[in-house]
Amino acid sequence: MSGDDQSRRPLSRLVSIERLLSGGRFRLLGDLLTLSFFLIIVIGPTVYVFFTVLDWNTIHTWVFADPFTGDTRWQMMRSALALSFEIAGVATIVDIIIGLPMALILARYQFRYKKFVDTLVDLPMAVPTSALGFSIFLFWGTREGLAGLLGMDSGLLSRGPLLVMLAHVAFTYPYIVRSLKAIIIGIDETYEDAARTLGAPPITVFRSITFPLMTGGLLSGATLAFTRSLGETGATIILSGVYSTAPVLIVSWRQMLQIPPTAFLSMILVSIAIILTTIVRVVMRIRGGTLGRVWPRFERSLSRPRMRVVRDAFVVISFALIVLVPSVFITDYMMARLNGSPYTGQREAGVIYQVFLAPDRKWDSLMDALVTSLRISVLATGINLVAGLPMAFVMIRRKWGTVKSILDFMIDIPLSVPTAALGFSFFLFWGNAGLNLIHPGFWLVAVVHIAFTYPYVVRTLMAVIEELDPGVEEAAATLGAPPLTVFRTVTLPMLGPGMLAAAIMAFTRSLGETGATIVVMGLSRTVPVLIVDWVESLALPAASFACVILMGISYCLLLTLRYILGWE
Amino acid sequence: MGVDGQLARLRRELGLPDINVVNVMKRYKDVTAIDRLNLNIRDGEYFTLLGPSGCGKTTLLRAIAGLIEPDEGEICMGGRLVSGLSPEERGIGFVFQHFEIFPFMTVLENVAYGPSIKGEDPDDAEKKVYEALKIVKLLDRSDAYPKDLGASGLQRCGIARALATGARLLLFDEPMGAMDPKIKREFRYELRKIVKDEGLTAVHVTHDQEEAMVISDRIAVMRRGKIMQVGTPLELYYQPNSIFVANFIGEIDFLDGFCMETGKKGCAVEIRGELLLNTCDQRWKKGDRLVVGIRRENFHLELGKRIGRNKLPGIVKRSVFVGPYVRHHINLENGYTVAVKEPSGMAHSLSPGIEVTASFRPEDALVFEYPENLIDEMALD
Amino acid sequence: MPEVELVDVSKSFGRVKAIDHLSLRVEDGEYFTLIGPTGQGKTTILKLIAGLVKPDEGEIYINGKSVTDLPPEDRGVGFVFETFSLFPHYNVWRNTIYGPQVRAEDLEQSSRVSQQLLDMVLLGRRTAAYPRELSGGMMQRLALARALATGSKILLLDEPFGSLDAKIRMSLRNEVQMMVENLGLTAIHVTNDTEEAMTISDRIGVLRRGRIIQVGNPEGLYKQPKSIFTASFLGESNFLEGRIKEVTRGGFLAEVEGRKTLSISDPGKWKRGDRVVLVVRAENVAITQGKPRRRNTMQGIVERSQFIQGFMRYEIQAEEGIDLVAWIHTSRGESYLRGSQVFINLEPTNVLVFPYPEEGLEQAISFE
Repeated sequence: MSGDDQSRRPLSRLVSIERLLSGGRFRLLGDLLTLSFFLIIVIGPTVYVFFTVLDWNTIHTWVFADPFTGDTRWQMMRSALALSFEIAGVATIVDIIIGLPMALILARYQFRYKKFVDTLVDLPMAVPTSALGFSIFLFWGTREGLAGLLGMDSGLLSRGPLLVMLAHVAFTYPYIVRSLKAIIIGIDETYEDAARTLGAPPITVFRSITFPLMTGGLLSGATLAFTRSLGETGATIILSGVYSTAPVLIVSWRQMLQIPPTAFLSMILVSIAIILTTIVRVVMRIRGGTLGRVWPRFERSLSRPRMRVVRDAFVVISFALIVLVPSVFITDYMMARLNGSPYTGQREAGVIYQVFLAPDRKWDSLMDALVTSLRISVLATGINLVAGLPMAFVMIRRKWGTVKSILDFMIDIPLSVPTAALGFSFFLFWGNAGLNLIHPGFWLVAVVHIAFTYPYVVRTLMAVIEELDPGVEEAAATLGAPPLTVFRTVTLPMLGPGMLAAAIMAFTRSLGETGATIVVMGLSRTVPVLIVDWVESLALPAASFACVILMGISYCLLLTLRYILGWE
Repeated sequence: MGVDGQLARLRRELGLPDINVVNVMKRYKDVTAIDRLNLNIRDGEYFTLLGPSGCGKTTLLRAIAGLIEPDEGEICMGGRLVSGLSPEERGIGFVFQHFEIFPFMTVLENVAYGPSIKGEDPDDAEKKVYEALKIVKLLDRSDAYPKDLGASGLQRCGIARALATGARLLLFDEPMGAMDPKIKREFRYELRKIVKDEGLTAVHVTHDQEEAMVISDRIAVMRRGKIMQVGTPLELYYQPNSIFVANFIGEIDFLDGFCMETGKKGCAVEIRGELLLNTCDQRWKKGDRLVVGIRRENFHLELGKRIGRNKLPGIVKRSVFVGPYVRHHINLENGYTVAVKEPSGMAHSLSPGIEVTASFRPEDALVFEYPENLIDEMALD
Repeated sequence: MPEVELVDVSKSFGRVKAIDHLSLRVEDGEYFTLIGPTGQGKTTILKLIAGLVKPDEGEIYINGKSVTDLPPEDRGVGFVFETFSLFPHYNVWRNTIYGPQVRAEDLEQSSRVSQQLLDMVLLGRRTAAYPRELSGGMMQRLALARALATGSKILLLDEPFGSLDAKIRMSLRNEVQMMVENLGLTAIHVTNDTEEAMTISDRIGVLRRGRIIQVGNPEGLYKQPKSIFTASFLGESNFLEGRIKEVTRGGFLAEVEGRKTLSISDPGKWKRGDRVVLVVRAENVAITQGKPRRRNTMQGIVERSQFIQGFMRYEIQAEEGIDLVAWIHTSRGESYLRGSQVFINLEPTNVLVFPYPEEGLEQAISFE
């Protein structure tokens, strides 16, 4: 038989090495390394903040029984948390209402500029949140924006919860639309065809068939949006005015070096994130959908072509007004101010002056910050690709049962924890209160960015690997290739586009992050943080310039991502 | 045929089995996919595993390939124990139902994959690839990408790819499952021709009994994890050992009754309506409850009502023209229905309502013991 | 009054013209089957009738009324999908009762009808089960019951048995055909399995590249195909290229494959020199051991033989390089051995004659 034939021919050296490394012991080693990375670099520091609670007395004094302020800090925490939840809740609900029809349109219809609209929907995700916050502030909150168009003297809305909410609606919109769109696409269209041939008008079809099949996806999309909103810092700092959400409170206390209350609040936020994630998981196991009472005639009339036009108009207008325009308004602002103020003509109020000519050398700071941002993002993305790919494989391919569900749950934690709290926990873990290895500065920022982009990479890769037909790998095995060779020659080439997509997602996320960076940055500056600085010092034209640059980079990356995905 | 082919023929004549499956069992949670199977497949044989979905045939094939490890039992190939060896170490060629062609490689690169992994001498490898492509008639499309090929082109590529590794054993997992019926019917003959011309051994999995009958030297009929019967197509067709096998292969009608008398030739069975059927089966004694099966093409039709042994009078329900043959559905007087197949050239032209009598020769009757659960025995799963 | 009619219907998807000026009439109570290669328009026709797809041109009539502008939910046709498309979040009962419920029909009446249908398809006792708990055959039956529960008189079936085992397919199709007959429905069934079509249909329509090339009952289509494609699509046939040497009374003599002369009976108008394709069904190739004293006899050697349920299929290499396939009826599996010398005979009246196609023989019978 063929076995004899094979041993007589010389094996290619690479393949024989791979054959060796495919052995059981090496695989175990690989798995251990992958898991260790995950636990020590990503999860460990994230939850480290819990340990600080062990020093309960200090915490208690600072928070509840301060000799000077009594339990003011506790009260501040409570109202900050309440505000955070309110804003997140409302933002999520508004997003669902305006995002669901958009997701339906993108999932089910074909029209001329669909790819273009698809990309536009993703725009707020590409925009770093501080830039977004700034843009929203300009659009809604000053006379340079909408107010000016309406002939008013000052902005429509002043800084505060409402403005924050608008910002949150804008940047969580893409999350909701994307996950809903993916879910709807996943629902076999023939179910809907079947329902229609049975006599159900389109809206009834949606309510009785599509929607019940969607509830799982809706829940996870909503949770993603909710936790994202809960944890957002950059835009919130700019827009909240005298109010504080929880992450904003963390940042200000950290800046005032009030460690114990910061630790306590961080711990609360981490706990909330974990609890929320758990609840969603449990709820996801419950079946969905009942027909309920049917009102076919009413829904029939709502399905008429005219109503569809109304619905489409609603979608487009709400999208434009709430999400799209404010996100890009900043470019308009900057262009108007290139050479000076459009009102006073003052050169000092112009972008070019402030950035290039003013004595405080903003251009140099911007370049430094840009280099830092890029270095950190590249580092975080690169390391996560190397450490995250094996993790994604473990999650999809290994049959570890309960261990896997626990890991699956843990992967989402860095995603749901507000980055400010995350940053703070890392600050404690790696700094004086913990291992005492890394202190505020470039490397601490890098490590934090690795942690919160890890879930993006792993989840994206998991989705790609799941799509991969195992049959092709089996075919390669029957043709004589040991597992590692199969991986190199068959799996990787097929994963290529997916890996690039994961990389870009992680990179953009890291580029735009503000909250954690502020907490751990020490003297370094990334561009988003710089923007916050400049806004607070009222160098608005300069800030707009920095925003535009950052947005430009992110948007280009996003376009590349779309282009790649377009191949599939 | 080269030295290998001659060697194969020699081994076959000596009766040396090539693949032994010994007491193999595989369980998935609480379902036993294959239940202590024993099987010998001879070198150079075209062997088919035939059965309904879920019977375990694919599980068995994958166990032979090494893609699954059985919970119990051993598998040997060419006298060598292969249990525990991974697929790449077994030297087999596997052809998949959904082709599994590497989408980012051309046809040529796909076929060259096996040899390139083994690090063969490039000239040898090229010759092998060329040979393989020639055999499957894909030489003129070697630069094409999978997305430009149809189902039969993709499967040819899959076969060439398996052939190029030099494997002497080919495993086919419903290879024509994804093809149009017309293309499927033509591809079968080509598949067998390739295997036979190259002197290879093939194990083929399918649920299509017509395919199995046409393509195989021997067939193992499987059901619910067990092997029901192994034999040549003719053996299975004319000497099925169970009602399930008789029903699963070909078309058959069953009539149940009791053994009335036993004679030198065989027993006579009385069925409903006091009709007596002579058979050539001597295994039974008076009073045994039996089921008589008659292949539909073994019925003869006469016009009008006739009385006598092995004669079943009835009324024509409808006649269906199916191309090479015509199927007459007859409602028998005793309440049963049978269908009679006649070759089109010799078929009666019958309108519904006409009285006819269906008859058959005693030697064409297949007799079985009445099972505990007849409906389950006749089920097709 | 015809139940379903398409008049000059065209439909394109992007640049691909899926349906090309197609007209079709299906009569009340008929079991009509559409056959043809995959991807050439059969499913599109069903979707046009159901209203899931709108035609670019042409009209569609149901029971004499134009429905071209009616949305699917108002057309009242039952549709059984290729993958069943049973609502996964509803059990057997809810799936079945869905149609009547959304049409706000009298619930008591609909419940009775639904229960009857479920009993008919042997699912009457499994109303609480979910689709994922059912076998392929049962899912198929549920799809059927669901489509009929609304009381539609028209049933559209899109390759309903495609995903089922071969044997189960055979028994199910008879069940469906009987059900359609008993309930007095009109059925339009799409399949690429010609044996299936022949067995259950009253009439068959052959669809190729978006056009209907022939409609007729199974026997008519098989015995008198109007094109080479139809001839090759049904059953297994031998194709011999030839040229007419001499015209005779009632037929002609043709030189086949450049060598052998055959005598053919055919009522057509032929001239000397015409290029033709002779189609001989495999079951019309007669084989004998001794030389028969008849025209059209050839000598040959049996290359391969296979047993197919009461027929032996022989691949024979005849004299002068002509390869023929023959199906010979056998009752006990007696057969000619490989390598046997046999005589082949073709009955002059059993040969179908077609003019040699412009695009070449291969293209004419191609599946693409």
